[in-house]
Amino acid sequence: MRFEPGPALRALVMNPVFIILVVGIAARLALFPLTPNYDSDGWALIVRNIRIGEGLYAIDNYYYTPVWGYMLSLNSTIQGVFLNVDVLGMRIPEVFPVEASEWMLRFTATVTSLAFNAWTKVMFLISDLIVGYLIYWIVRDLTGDKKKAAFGLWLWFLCPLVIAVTSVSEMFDSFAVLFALLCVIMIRKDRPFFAGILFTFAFMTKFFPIFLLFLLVAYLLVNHQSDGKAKRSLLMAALGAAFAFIVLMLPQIMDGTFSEAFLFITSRVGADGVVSTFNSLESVAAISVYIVCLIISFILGWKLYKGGTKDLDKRFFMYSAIILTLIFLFPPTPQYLLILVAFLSIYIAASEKGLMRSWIILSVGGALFVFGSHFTLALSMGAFSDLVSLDSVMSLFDWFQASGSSFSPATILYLIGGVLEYIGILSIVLFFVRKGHSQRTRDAAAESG
Amino acid sequence: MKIDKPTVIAIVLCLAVVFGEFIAYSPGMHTYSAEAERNGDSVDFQITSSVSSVYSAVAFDNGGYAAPLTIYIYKDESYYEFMDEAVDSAGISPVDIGHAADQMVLLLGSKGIMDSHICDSSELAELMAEDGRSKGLVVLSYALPESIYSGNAADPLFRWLSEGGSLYWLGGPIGRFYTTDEELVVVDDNQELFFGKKCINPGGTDIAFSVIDGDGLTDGLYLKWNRVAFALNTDGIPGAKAIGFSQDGYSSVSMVPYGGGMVCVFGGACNRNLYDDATQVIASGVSCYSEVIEIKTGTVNRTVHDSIDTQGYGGNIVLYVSIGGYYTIYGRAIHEI
Repeated sequence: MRFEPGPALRALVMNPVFIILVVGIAARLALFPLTPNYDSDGWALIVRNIRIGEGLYAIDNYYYTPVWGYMLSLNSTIQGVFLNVDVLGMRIPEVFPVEASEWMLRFTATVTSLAFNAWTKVMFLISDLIVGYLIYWIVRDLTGDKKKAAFGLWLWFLCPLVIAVTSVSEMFDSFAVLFALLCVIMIRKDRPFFAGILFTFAFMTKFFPIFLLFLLVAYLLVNHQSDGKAKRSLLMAALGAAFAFIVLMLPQIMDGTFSEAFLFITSRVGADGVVSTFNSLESVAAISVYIVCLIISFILGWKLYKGGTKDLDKRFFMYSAIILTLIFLFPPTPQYLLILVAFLSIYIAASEKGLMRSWIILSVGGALFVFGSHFTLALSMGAFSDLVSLDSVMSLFDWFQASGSSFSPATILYLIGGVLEYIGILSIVLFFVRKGHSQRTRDAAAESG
Repeated sequence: MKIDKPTVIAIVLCLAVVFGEFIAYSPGMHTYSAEAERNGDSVDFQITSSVSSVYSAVAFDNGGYAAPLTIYIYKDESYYEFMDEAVDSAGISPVDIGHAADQMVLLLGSKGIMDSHICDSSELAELMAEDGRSKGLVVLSYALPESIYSGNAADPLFRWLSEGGSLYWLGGPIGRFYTTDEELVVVDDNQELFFGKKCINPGGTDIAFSVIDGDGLTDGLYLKWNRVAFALNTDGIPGAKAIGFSQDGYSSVSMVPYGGGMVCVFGGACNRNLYDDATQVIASGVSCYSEVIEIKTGTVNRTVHDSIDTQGYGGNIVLYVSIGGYYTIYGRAIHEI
């Protein structure tokens, strides 16, 4: 008997959203076995510290604000209690040579298990799915067009950079994007207290959403220009933010590790846990870019406020894309760009397809950078499965790294990825400069005409 | 207020994060235990864990050696005063000495050593006046104070060791320096004083590529730090035991008898991996006198019962149980079973 799909099933299978989700999930799952162990070893150590009962900061190795640690805490409990993941990782003597590598990145012979990696990455997959849904929701809300909404979802969920960061890098930036988008939605829905809570959750995951603060405040004020509730709403948002901050930081306030939660701002921490104060040229440059960007974000917020309700949403997402591009003029590691990709996806899908070329360059460059910078990706597979032997992985490592030579395949991929990624960022800046220039020309013509 | 999908998502996510926070900071959220008792010619043990995890149970006979139950960690108050000199002279990697000591205390606590103290030079002098048995001294500094060590065989430190004390040295060449109020003094014959011969890695080799079986202790204790800077070559030292990893004859963990006590030297610069290994070795009570009886490993998912045959061994049997493998979350040494 032949299987004849019903019309409902056929409609589902032919639905672009369904196809995007299936392809995106399949791509992520296919890449799950690849992991750079340097970060996953760090996550396993944090799980160890939590299971010891010392929280996030008492024993070294957690250098972020606490939200990601709390997620890891929940995840580790699920892994340990319900999924019976009994091995987080192992020290593999055959892999010791990677620690002798003099290439530009550090590598570790402590290899985390495929099970631990996969179940940690499942969190990021879920986060990516929800972010995709929120982008779909926002674009549909802005345009009323399901096709544009699906296009926004496509730009996020099938973005090579997002897939690489989620499924290979095992980095948690997607969660900061998730909370930031939820905050934007709550602002647009006029739920300021909740928006404040979500804003704190966002910047306490990764600090980049802080650059959206002035735009969010301006949006809220414009929304209440006519009803006289601006001050009250702003107060509610501030209360929500403060409430969330206290709730999230309460353990650190009580156990005296409050300052450790902000080490990533005040210090740079080496892999050996030695903390050195901000003194390098690189750090000064990064701080300078971020301070200038905070000033620019204030100016953009002021412009948004002065522009009133006309094209408010369109201008909000444009200004958001601008500021989130400018902060990455200080060259970022690929995972940082996820917040830019999310806001860019909304802006492109809802308003401006002219940025597609930039999106392609940025996302492909960022993805190459992920693979170029971590060529010990297959170690977990080699150590914990029969899919590939450790000997093969180490041979690949030797070839790819070519004993630290200047023009090893790794270096070439790393450079191409990095350059493309940065060209992508610059091209977005250039796009907005041109757009601003032509807008001013049009305004001048309108005035004179 | 209309509850729409984004609002539901936001509430669920925030609650999930706060629940994770609750798990991370609630006392007793994760529980582990290890018990053992003699049953004729065997030792029966029971291990429990609230999370699924690998474990190892290492049984050994320590002979006449009293493994340290109380640990003193020397926090050198003159550490930063002479640090640059020590870095230039011996190539040590500087650490935040107070923080390092705090880390050791926490890690030792997680492995069953609840009686650990951070001490300064005056407290160290008081310690040296006491019986060394069942006591361990951890040195993270590059030097000891003149009051206990001045490069002479008659120093209080050597008397304390002879009487059964255990010295654990991390992150630098053992006995190379001592400090007075004014200066850092180099001891030229430090190696002969401690070991009777030159055996400290003079430099050049740090990463070790070979695994030392050490009667199964390297795997049984989940040792991981394969660094041998400042490490010992124990060849030809009577009664010495090497575990961990080796390169060019130097071992990442070397245990050498001294009178009734022990000197244990860890290779490599001080860092978190070294602290993990050092606390594991210290907490286990393993020594150069240890005769391994049996090592059992497996996965504990709630509770595991097992036993080890100890027929033919003496009355100083120790069972060290660790849970978590290379990410050790619990340890307990059960002495004199």
